[in-house]
Amino acid sequence: MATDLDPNDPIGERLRSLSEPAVAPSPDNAWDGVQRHRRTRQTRNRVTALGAVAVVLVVAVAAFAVTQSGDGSDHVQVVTPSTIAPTAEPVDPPIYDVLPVAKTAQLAIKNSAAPIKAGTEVHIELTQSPHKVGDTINTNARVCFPWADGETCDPSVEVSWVEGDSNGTTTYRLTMPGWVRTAAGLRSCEEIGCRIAMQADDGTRIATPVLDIESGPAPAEPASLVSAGADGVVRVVMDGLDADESWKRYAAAVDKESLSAGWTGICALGDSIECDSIVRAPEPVLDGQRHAVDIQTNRLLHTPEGWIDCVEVTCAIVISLTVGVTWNSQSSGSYAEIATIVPYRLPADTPPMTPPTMTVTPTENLHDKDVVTVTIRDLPGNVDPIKWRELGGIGQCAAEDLRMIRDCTFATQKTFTELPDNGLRVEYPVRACYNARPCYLSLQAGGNGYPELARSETFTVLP
Amino acid sequence: VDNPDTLRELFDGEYVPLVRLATLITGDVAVAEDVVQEAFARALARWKRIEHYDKPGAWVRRVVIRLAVRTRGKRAREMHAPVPDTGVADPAQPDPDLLTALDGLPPNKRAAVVLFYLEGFSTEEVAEALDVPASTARSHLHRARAELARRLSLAEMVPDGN
Repeated sequence: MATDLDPNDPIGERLRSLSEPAVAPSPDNAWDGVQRHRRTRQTRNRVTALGAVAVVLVVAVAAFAVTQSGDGSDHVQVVTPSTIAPTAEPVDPPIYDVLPVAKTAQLAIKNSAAPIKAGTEVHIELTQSPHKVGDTINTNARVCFPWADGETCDPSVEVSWVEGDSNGTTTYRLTMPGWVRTAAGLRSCEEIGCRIAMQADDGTRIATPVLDIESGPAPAEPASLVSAGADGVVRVVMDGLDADESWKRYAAAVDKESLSAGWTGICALGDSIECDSIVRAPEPVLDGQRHAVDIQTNRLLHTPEGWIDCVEVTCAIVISLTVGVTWNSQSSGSYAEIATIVPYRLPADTPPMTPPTMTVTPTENLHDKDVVTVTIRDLPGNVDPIKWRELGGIGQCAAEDLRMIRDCTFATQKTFTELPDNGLRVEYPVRACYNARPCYLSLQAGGNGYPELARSETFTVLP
Repeated sequence: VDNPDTLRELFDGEYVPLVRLATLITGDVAVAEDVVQEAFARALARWKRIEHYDKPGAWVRRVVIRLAVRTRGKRAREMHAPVPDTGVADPAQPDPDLLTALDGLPPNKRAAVVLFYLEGFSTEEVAEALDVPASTARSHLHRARAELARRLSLAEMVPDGN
C-alpha cells in the first residue's frame, strides 16, 4: 500500500495527462465581467435583495420545517372585516435610503405613445452616452418616483432585458404598472410621477422623463396592515393569497416538498427590501382564503444595511411566492417573486432595543486551543436560540489589518447552552492569533452581505 | 506577474491560468470564469491595499481557489446531487474515467488533488490555500488519492481494507 504522498505517483501521472481545459484568451469582455461583479457587489443589497432574502429564508424555512408540523395554523386566526382599520401614515414616510434624483438621459420609451395605459408592455431603450452602463443584461432598471427630497423605486417591479445591438443600444421590457408599492402603500403613477431609472457605471442615476401613465383603478393588494404595536406585534390580514400554480403541480407530484410555497420577510423598505437575519416570521398561509396573522417583529432589524430602526424608518412585511417551479427526481428549481409588501412603522413609544452583545471569559493568558466561554446576551426575545444558532456562527478574527485573505476563521459550535434570559453560552476553542496580534470573536448571522451581529472585546492567544 | 503596475496588468497575465485552475476545481469553464472575475472584482475593491503586497497575484490565486471550492460545494448543495462535470462529456478528453473519478470527490478534496498534483503545491501550501491545518490537507490528499485509486481500479494504490 502506498502511503507517502508523491506528486509523481500513478494518479499524478494520469492527472497530468489530462488536456487543459479550453479557455479563451483573456478577452476584454472578461474584464467587463470583473466590472460587472464589482457593481453587483456594490448594489447587490439594493438591486437583488429579493434573491438574498430568498436564500436566507429558504434556510429559515428549512429550519422551521424541522420543528413545525401541520400547516402553521398555530399562528393564524381568522378575523372579521370589521377589525381591519388602515393606519394613517404621513406623506412620504421616512425610508432608510433615499436615492438622489436621476438625470433625465439615455433612457426612452420606444414602442408606446403617451399616455401609457397600465398593463401595457413597453420597450425601453438605453443608449451608452454620456454615462456608460457596462452590465446591460443584469440591469438595475426600476420604476422610480419622487420621494422626500430625492427618489426611490418600487422593489417589486422587474424590468427585463430584451436585446442589445452592435451600436450599444439595449432594449428592456416592462409591463407598466399603474400603481407602485411605496412606504405609504400603493400610490398611483398618475399622481406620483413614475419613470424608469437605472444607475450608470460612474454612479450617476439616469432616467426617462416622467411618464404619462393612465394608472386606472388601484389593484387589490392581497395583504394589508391592521396594526403595529409598541410591543412589536404587527398584525396583517392576507386575503386571497394563493400558492403559484407551478408550486401546486410540484407539491402534488412529490411525496415530501422540500420547497416552501412562499416566505414572509420582516424587512426595511426603500428602493429595495433589506430583511432581518435573525427573526423568522411564520410562513404565509397560501390557500386563497382570508387570514390574519400576528408577526412578532423587533424594533431593530439586522439587515445588510446594518441595524435599522423601525421606529425611525419604514419597515415592511414582505410576502414572496415560489414561482416557476420545475423539478425532476433529484432536484428542483424555482425563483421568488414578491407578492405583496405591507409597510409599517412601530410607534414612538416602542421600548428601545440594544443589539446583541458577546463577552469572552477569560481574555488573558490564552494559548492555542484553550477553551473560552462565550456568552451572547440581548438576543431579541422572539429569537429562538436553537433555530438561530443554526443560522449564525462565531468566528475568530484578527483585530488589525494583517493583509490576510480571510480576517476571520469559523469553528463549528456544538455545545450551546441556553440561558434563562434567552442568552446563549458556548465553549469555544480559540486558536493562536497571527503573530500574537490582537483577535476578537465575531458573531455572524444572515450570510454574505450582512454585517456582524456583535463582537467581543479583543484578546491575544499565544501559540 | 508579481508586481503589476495596475490590476488590469495582473488580470491580463493571470486570467487564463487562473481560469484553468478554477476549471479543474469546479469542473465547469463558465463557472470558473465567473469565479475568477469575482476574485478580481474583490481585488479591485481593495486594490489600494493589495498593490503593496509582495505578490498580489498570490492573493488573487488564493481567493480563486477558495471561491472555486465554495462554488462547487454550493452548486452541489443547490442541486441536491453531485455537480455534473462538463469535462466528462467531452470526447476530446483523453481520460474520461479519471474525470469521472475526480468529479466524485468532495470539493475540498478535489481542490487538494488539483493543487498538489497539477499545480505543484506542497502539502503545506495546499493547507494554506484551503485554509485548513496541514494535517487536514494531508488527510484530504490521502483520502482523495485512495478514493481515486479505488474508482480507477489502481489496486497497488488502494489502502488495505478498501
